[in-house]
Amino acid sequence: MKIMKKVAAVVLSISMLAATAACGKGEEVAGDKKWSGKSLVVCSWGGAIQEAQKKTIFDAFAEKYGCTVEETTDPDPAKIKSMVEAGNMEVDVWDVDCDFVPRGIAQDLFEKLDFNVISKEGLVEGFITEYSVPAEISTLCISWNTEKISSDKHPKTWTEFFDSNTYPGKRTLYTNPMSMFEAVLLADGVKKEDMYPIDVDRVFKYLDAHKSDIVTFWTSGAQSVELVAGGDAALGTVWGGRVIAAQKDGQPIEKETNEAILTGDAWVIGKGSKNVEMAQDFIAFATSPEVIANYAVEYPGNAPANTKAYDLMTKEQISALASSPELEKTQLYIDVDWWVKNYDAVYERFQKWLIS
Amino acid sequence: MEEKAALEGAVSFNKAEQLTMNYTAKRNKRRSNKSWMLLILPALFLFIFMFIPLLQIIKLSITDAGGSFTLAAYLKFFQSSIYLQVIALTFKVAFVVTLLCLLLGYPVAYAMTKCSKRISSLIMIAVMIPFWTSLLVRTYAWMIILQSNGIINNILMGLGLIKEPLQLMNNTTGVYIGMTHILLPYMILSLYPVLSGIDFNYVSAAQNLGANKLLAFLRVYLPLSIQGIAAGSILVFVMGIGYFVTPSLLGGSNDAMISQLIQVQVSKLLNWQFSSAVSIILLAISLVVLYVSKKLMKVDKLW
Repeated sequence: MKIMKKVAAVVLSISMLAATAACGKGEEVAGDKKWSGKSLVVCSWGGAIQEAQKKTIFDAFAEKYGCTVEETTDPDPAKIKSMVEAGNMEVDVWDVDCDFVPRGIAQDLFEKLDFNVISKEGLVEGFITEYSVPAEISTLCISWNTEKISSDKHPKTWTEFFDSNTYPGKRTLYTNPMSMFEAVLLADGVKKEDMYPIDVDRVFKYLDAHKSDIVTFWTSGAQSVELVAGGDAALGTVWGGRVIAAQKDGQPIEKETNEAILTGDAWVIGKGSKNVEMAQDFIAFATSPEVIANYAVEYPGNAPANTKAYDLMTKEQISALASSPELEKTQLYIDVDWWVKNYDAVYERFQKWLIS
Repeated sequence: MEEKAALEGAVSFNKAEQLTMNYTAKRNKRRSNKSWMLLILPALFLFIFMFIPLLQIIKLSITDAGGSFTLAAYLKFFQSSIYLQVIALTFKVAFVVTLLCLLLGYPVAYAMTKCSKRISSLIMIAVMIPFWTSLLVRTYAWMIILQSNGIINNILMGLGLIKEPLQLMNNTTGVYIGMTHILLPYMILSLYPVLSGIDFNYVSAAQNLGANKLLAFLRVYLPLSIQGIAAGSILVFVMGIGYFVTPSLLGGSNDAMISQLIQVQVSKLLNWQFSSAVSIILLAISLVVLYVSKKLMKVDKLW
């Protein structure tokens, strides 16, 4: 019986290896079953993202280490904080927004990462801290309703995005100043390399001039798609992955990756996790080039957090991504540090502007 | 002789009555002793799950990261104009919604008291079914109806009445429509028992004495229904100022309600000290509203 199980496991790992080998090397011995019988709890964003993660990361990790991965959704910072304060960390690994990382560090909500286990090699540098590594790069893209705007003649820059003479109709923007302000400044002609420190006055001046074209500022990814695909807005800033998922559902929406704003999600370990060591192994696994390449193929609306993943992907696979070394030339990485220092003041001012 | 017998009879009747009264009083006393015991469990529940957390929120709002006492969060609230503006906006929305609920709910509750039992229970069902339906479901249903390629706009455009879709959501209009629909049952259910208790003979008497229908309504019926109006309005208003889901989904970015502000502070900015302070301020405002309206309306027997 036991032998049968082992045989089955070996067969499974070999077939899995074959699957990863299509994308690259995979010389690491699969199936050392280090965490046999254990269970790791991971919290991510649900929806298409988490389905892709389950397929390419969670299941593969469970297979390799002989453990199970329990999934939960909605990595709300308030949840992590309350678990830490209650002294009962129910989730080991969290996939969180990159701007939550510095806030969480300040409030001591994470375990330190062990960089003897996790390799920094190839990871996008701006998003690495002592407590976090990037999980993926998200792309906030120019997007439009294909029934209102022809995809043959669509806005390719943020300046064109705000040009309501050429592209009539309402716009919708992200209600989060972080990433939205960058798009506004690019539209106003600020150069990528001169972006930080952000000229907040200039942002509001530009927003003032275009306020009447903005139907509303969206608060969730689902809402942004509803607004654009539903026709309440002809144009909007939408996450690349959301656009692809909506297109699969047959919704009339398309995106432009030029000048996309790049932010990121990060893997962190909840303070007080009972499986810190296993969590380190998980993060090392989830950020390895092979796994990241597999995930990027499965969910091309974002981009790999590990640049080494590109070596393992075909040209075709890379061209499907919303960001890549080629596309990055026109795209902009947000400066998380600047935002963490300035977010509260900017947010308050933005709220004031909204209701004025 | 007869008189005496009658007197005796009266006395004994009185005695009997007294005895009965004594007995009833005793029984009532005993019963009230017991009914006090019945409150232990709910009181304990409220104490553990509401009172203690509330105290914790108060404590959270007046302690800084180091754990020492500070009123910084409250100062921040009152020093920055934005939060007071949001409170004013919240009040405006809750007030308009209360007014709309009253205007729409009063005729419905009135009709329920006037029409046949069958029709009035049909109306009651029509009020209760949405009342029992999840708030989220109802809000999403309104999105389907109100969005620019939604039911209303499609019909109006199909009929050629409008060329461009009307903007019915992502603005204050959407908030008013959604919140009024969701809070309307509370108004009707508060009005109905009061209206059905009004003796319509008073109105008839007023009309007999020469008042026309409108005057009879304004001078007789309306004042008699003031308790229901007060109860319904206070309920809808106080619930309205704490609304979150409906304004978030149907409103525009400039329709920020105070609860949305609290949510951002809790989940996004992780500033629990400030969000606790704002919550306490919201609670204090609700209590003040309740107190003032109770004083103004002189309605001690509301609930």
